[in-house]
Amino acid sequence: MSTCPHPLDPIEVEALASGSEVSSRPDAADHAARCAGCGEAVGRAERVGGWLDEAASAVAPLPENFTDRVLRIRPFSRAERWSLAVWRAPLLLLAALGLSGTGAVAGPVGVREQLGLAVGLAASLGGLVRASWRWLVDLRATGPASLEALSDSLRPTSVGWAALLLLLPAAVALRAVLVRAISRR
Amino acid sequence: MTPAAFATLLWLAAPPTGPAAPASPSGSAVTTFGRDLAISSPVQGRVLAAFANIRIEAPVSGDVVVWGGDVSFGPAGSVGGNLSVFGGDLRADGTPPVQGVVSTPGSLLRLYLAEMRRAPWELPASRTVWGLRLLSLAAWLAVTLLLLRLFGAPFARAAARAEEMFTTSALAGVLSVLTLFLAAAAVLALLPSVLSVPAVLLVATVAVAAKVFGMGSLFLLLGQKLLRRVSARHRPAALAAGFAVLGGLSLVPWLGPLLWIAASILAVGIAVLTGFGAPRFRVRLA
Repeated sequence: MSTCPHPLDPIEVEALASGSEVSSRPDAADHAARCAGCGEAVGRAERVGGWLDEAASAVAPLPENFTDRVLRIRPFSRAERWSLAVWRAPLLLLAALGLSGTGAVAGPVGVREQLGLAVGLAASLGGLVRASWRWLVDLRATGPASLEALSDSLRPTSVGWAALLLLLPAAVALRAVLVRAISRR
Repeated sequence: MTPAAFATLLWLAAPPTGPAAPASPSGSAVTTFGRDLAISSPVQGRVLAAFANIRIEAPVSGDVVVWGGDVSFGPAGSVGGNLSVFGGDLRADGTPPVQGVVSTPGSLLRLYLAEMRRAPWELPASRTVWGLRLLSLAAWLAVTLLLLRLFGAPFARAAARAEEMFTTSALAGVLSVLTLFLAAAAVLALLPSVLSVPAVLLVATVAVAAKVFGMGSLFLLLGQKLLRRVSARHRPAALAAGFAVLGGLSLVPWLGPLLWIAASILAVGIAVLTGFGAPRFRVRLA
């Protein structure tokens, strides 16, 4: 186990091993040179890279855009996961939506004029939270009984048999589409 | 899929639709499917309706449960038990004459208005409706961002594969939604309630999970196309861009809800076709 207080994450290790620049951590190369644990991790990654190069030379050439695709679907690095710069745009959009929505629903409450904007927004948000809670409680309380009622009202009809008859071709067609898609991978 | 669309799928099997029929007088329970009902004499039990409107003009001693239909009251109409309306409207001139609980779990707006001391059956201000729509979109963005942060690679894989097989994803979406609804209808109508209710709740959970995951992947794919950037670092911005376009379009009257339904069907297809973004190959390192 590494005792390094600021270890390189796997993507930074891979980048160093392949000779690439580490944009998320400019001091990565210096750190790997100084830190025994991280240096060992980079060394291991270089050895794995060497084995993979040997193995790749023995098989068919890689498909076109293979590297681009791998980079596209790779997980977030730890730095990316916590970077405010990476998440700033969606968080700003989220804040804008939340504030404009809350402001819009605060109007009809009628307390804003009397008690100020902050209290009006708080009352509106409180109502929304209570409504959401009631929605969940109502759904939990009435959902199963209502489904049972729907089941009782469907049972005397021929809906069940019609659905069963249609279900078979729909399921077969879905399976065919999935099998064809998997075989194309 | 909306209750109306569900009803359309199964309409062929339903009894013929006609004008409102009077309820059986003083019966223990009244059930109707696809046929409007006017309760003109007292009912000593509950009233169940699916895809039908109910007019209550006489006392009902039990519960009234309506799926995909509206409920209205006449001067002498009342409900002794609870009133539940899923996917329909409750119309009453004043306070509905219901002794039990009035619940409309399909509509958060009604509950919000009730919480804010406005009667839920009164017409809300359009500003409130728009505000709740924006908050609903904010909830969508928050959930998909959280999922992207937790499951970045599966989302990216699903988006990449959906781009390669867009038409197939759409076809898989239509067939998946159809299969799920037919399975739910068959289970509900043919199995006893003790089995059918948990089974349908399970189907609904799978459908919701597929829709949420697929919508996140669809936002990401759309945003990557718009920004022309597919790297992991640009993933959150791409998701936000795709969401902004699709969410903005969903607010357009008439066309918006249709687009959102089409996107939801495509989303379910993406989730099913990609196995929730599962890797194509798994390599075990010794």
